Amino acid sequence: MDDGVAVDPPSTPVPPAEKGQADVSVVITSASGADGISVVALVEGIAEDDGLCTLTADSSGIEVVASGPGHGSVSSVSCADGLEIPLDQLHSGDWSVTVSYESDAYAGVSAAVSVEVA
Amino acid sequence: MRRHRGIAAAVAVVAMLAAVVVGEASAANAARGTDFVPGYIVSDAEFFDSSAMTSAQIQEFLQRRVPTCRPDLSTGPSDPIVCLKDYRSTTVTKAAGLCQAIEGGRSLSAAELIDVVARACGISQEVLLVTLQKETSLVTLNAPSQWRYQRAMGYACPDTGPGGSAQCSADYEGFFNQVYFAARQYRNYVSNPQFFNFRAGQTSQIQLHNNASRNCGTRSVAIVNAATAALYNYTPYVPNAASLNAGYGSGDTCSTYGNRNFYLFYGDWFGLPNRPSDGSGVGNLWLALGGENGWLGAPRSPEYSGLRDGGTWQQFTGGMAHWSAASGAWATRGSIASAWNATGSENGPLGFPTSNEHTGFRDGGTWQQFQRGKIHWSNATGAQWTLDGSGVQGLWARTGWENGALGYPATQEYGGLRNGGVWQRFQGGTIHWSAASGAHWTKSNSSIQNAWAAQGWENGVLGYPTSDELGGLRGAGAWQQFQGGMVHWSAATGAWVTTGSIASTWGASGSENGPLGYPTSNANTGFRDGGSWQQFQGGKIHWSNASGANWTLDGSGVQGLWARTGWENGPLGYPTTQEYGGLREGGVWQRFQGGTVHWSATSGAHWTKAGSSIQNAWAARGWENGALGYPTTDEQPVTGGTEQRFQGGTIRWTAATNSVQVTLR
Repeated sequence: MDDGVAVDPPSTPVPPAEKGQADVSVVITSASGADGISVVALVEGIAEDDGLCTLTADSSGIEVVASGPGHGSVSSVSCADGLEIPLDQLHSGDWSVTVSYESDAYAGVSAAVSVEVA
Repeated sequence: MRRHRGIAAAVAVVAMLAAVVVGEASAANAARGTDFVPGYIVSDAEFFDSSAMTSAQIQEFLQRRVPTCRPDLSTGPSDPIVCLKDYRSTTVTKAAGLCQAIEGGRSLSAAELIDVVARACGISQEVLLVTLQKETSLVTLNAPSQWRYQRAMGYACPDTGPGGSAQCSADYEGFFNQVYFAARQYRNYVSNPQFFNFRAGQTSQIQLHNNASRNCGTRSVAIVNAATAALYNYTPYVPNAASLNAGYGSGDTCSTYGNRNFYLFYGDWFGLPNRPSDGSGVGNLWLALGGENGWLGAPRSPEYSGLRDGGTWQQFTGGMAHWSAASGAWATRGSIASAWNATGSENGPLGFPTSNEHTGFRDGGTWQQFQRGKIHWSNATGAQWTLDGSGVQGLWARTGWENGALGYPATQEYGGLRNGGVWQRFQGGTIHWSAASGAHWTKSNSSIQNAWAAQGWENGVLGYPTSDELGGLRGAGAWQQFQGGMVHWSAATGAWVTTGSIASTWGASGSENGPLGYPTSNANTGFRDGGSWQQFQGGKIHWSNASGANWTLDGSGVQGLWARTGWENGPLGYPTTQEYGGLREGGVWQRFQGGTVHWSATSGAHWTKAGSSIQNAWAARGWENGALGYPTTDEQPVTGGTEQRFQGGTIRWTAATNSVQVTLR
């Protein structure tokens, strides 16, 4: 059915694994150290509401973690809810942050992003 | 129904000639991907307008998109062809939540169903139609397979089966569910922005493509409003330049199309999704300037309110538009817009614009009117402002604006000078204004301006100018009047300052036309009794408080004698008159504090002491006109007194008797 309009292919499906969890792509779409650490990430190719997102921040051997529920969108899951670390748990300087996602069927972790805490 | 550019006319035509098929928007009015603004794809006003269309209007619209459906193209009984204009579905009961409640079990046409959902969820019917098209092309296909209805909005159907068939979650499957959950999700993004990736007022790194192996990277997008954030949450990719440059076609391996196609279909069907509000001052201005095809170009922001005087403004790709009730709606762009922003925009000294930019002035220059002033731009000077009603602008206007000797302004007007004065530099000179002196200008880097500057500008002895530079003097000279004096210039002499009594005496002598000619120095100060003197082409003017200002002629016998006696430090002191001629045999005389010098060609220059017995005796005999004639010596000491010789004799003064004896030859 070619009407000359280029369209996106249907969102890349991530089939559930036969056993255990299938890998999913997690991408950080914004990260700020302006008032504590606040991070938002996108889990691509799945739409479900039962996963858990975890923000991990590392600096000088110190690790701080925050978690929150993933919220299903149209063809992705948003990791945004609760992924914040208040300033009183942080020291100033550069922090390496990642976001991981885990549900019954899927798991994935983002690449690390550097965030400067003032 | 609001009026829609593009379809308003089409609806009218259909009403008259129902059989006529109205085509797509003409090419000239087609939306262009190159106008796509990533941070502001669709306005909130458009997106959340749930009265954008009635179900009848939707039906009419669908029939125009697919005049002839092609059930004959069915692949078999398992996949009957039903076009969207003919499609019917049954509602499912939905409790109130993010959307208002929807009653189940009603068999509705697709158009009715779209309208019901749009009104329940507060989302525009147009948005739902464009979303349908962008996801599954259902609006325009004349032979859609059934699977497209099952996953009509692409909602939560991540699995694809053979031939593109969808395996949607049963909760979301089917046309009604798809339209409902998509609209509900749009509403969810607005009601719960903290749960989702993209939010109004935040800058996000949005991927170009979902295939990480292509390393397409991200684009930083400052999302302006909730509706645009909703589009990115729905389809979390931003089109790249290749996609935006391809019309509806294909770009490159890093191109995505969902949000581009939303913009293009919306623009072609309903007018630009981010266009200004119909009927607003800014919107009317934008239309009058040619809409997205004019120099303002595509909108980059909504129309913001809250400016001074109830004003509004909107950002476009080509500039800004500002409106207030008092000033009307006008556009600014480029250097003039930047200069206006630097003044504080409408809160600054200029206020709101009251014209668009006027072009075609000297050297390709432009200018624009604001409530309280003007901004003038040329390539050489950049954009600079002048204040209406200011003395500076008034002078510039009188000299012919940029076409006059001053040319374009090269700075803004600056205040803070002595006595509340202001100044502004132009290409040809600098205007200074103060209440007492008015506005006058000095020529850039002219000798006169430099001479003034060397005195400390308005802070120096000259104060502010009280005339412009005036020419026409002897030898093509020029001069300028200041509060505290004058500066005179000629090519032969350069520019020098005259002030006070010296200036008055020079004026009385005939200024540059008199015996002294032009000044060739400034006043030299710090002499006896606080005296000063100044050099001119033909002589010197000497001043002291006791003697006033008087001149002596260079090369004259009188000045020569005075010089030999030690100038003002000698017995003669300062001159108290000028040199006067008209005496017998072409003689001249000049009085000094200590005596009077007389000169004639035959006698030379000699002086008699002021009030001395000898001078009195000479005077009693008729000065140079008497038998004694001119002095031929100064007064000399002799035994018992003094003596002075004259052409016709000698006068001797005896100290013991304080008497004089005149001996004629």
